[in-house]
Amino acid sequence: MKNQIDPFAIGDAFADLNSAWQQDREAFLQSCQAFNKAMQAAHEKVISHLHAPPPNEPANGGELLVHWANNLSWSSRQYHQVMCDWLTRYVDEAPALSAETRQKAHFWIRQIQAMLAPANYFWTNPKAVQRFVKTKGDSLQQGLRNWMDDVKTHHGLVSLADQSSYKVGENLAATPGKVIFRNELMELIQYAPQTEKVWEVPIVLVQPWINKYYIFDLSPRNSFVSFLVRQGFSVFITSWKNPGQELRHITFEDYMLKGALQAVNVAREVCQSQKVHLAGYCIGGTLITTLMGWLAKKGAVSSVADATLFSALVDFSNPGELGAMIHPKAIDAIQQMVAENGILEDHHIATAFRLLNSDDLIWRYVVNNYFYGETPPRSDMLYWNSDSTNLPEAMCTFYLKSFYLENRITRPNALQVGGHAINLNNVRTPFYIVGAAKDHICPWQGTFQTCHLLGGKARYVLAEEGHITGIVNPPSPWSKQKHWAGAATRLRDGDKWRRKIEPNKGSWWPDWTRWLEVRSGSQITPPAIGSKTHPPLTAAPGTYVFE
Amino acid sequence: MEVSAAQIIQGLEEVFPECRGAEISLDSVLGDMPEWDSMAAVNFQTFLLQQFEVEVPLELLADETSLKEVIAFLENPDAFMS
Repeated sequence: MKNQIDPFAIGDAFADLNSAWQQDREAFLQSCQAFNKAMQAAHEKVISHLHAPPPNEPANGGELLVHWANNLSWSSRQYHQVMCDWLTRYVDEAPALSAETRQKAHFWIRQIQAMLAPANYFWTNPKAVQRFVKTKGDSLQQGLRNWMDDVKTHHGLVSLADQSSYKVGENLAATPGKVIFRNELMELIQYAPQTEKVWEVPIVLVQPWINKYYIFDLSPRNSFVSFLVRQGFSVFITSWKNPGQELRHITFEDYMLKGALQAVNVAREVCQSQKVHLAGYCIGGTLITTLMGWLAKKGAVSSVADATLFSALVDFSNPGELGAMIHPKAIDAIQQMVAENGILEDHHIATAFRLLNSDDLIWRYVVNNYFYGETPPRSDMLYWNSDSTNLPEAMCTFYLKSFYLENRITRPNALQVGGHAINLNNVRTPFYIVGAAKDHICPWQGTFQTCHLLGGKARYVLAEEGHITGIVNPPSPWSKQKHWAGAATRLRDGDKWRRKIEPNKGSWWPDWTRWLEVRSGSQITPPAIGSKTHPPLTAAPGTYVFE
Repeated sequence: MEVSAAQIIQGLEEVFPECRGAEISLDSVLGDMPEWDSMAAVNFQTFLLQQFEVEVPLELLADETSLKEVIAFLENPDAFMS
């Protein structure tokens, strides 16, 4: 199939890199000489290290093996370091290379550097050899079993978390609530109140449909929904269906109208409230921003009091490291793949996201699970990370093309959704926008661009952490984290904005609830769970989360 | 529980093989570790949980947190809270 040999155009990026160096052959020769010199120096260091007598003479065959593994590991690290330094400089210093190509080359070179790290190979990982000797080979045998399990049950993706430690509905996604609405696309969960009075205006959380919704309801200590409920808010959340081939026709517009808008309308009806606080995470944020543009066109924005975006891109001109994988050839290849299956399967998406941080999401677990023969650790966040979902064909191709490739929503009326051309300038609703400083998926400077695209007021908050930990960021007495918060209406330069603002210590969650409270009307007796029109169907977490 | 610096440094070397051989002291901060980011923090948290059976909150594992502070928390989480 065409474009499937190199769908990410890695070869193109490297060819451009090499061509760039050909423009300055002298600099290229100097770079090669520097590499040879560094390699020679490393080699001399290695020789001298290998000739040094061991601190303790190995007492048996096992100790001798470990000793040699230590030597091999030490030696290969010297060469690996030289190679990494040189490759990084080879990309950094390439003359006249576009920023986009440089970023792509960096991304793929980092994958090579991570893959070739000595710790990722048995004989150059002394701890793996030590365990092998200590367990008389059991560690590697167990590692082989772990690998076979992953091949059989996870499409060959290495397990990140101990699957036996968590059960959705028991120790994850366990905040009490009911599913009060279900259609072919989503279940809407309403959480049970935990305060005597609640704010009149409810919160509707629109979750990304690339993973399961319960990233906002992990274990009780870091459950975002539990925090919001305890602050006296009525909270609703979307739990999306994991689509199979039968839902290949589902479009981005369906997610917007049958998903987000439907959730808004159900929450308003159940709470007897004119308006809701609408919030979206990641692609859910992109979706609700599009919805706000659509509602503005319809003259129907009054159903939303305000909108909040958590780590969500609207302007995709700088899509971060995912940009290395976004290329017309890649989109063509994905289109061909989804045309065959009707869906983009979850493991493809999981692989793409893991590549963004391959040291922490691939190689560490390859070593732990396969070489050490260990069970992956207990971590609610990593368990959730492994629980991905499929994307339907129609939505997937539209999203990749219209947002990532063509960035249509940033141009007035260039994006057509639900029968309307979207112009974000017409959106006057106040926005609260959260970015995360270490976000690889939605770089915060990119999320900041939303501030100037909107026609209304914007408050921006920059959390210190990453795409997940920056958002799942509970208040805590021992927090060492900080965040920056301030008005950002119509601003474009995030760095300039940040320099003018003093950071606050701890979580940004209380800043958000204070911002919401002044827009929440009065405090009232909590509404019932569901209504006559939308009676409770089943207990949270519902059924779609298990698909 | 008494936690030695050597145990923590060993853990860091496990989570970040690149930092082997680098000078790490009790005053080193997590942000100085090569490739330190939020997923590295999750991995370091799981290492600490497995090794010491104490769940160090992610909020504590920030760029500016020193190894001394991590050890202080592991040794006595209650005292740290007050």
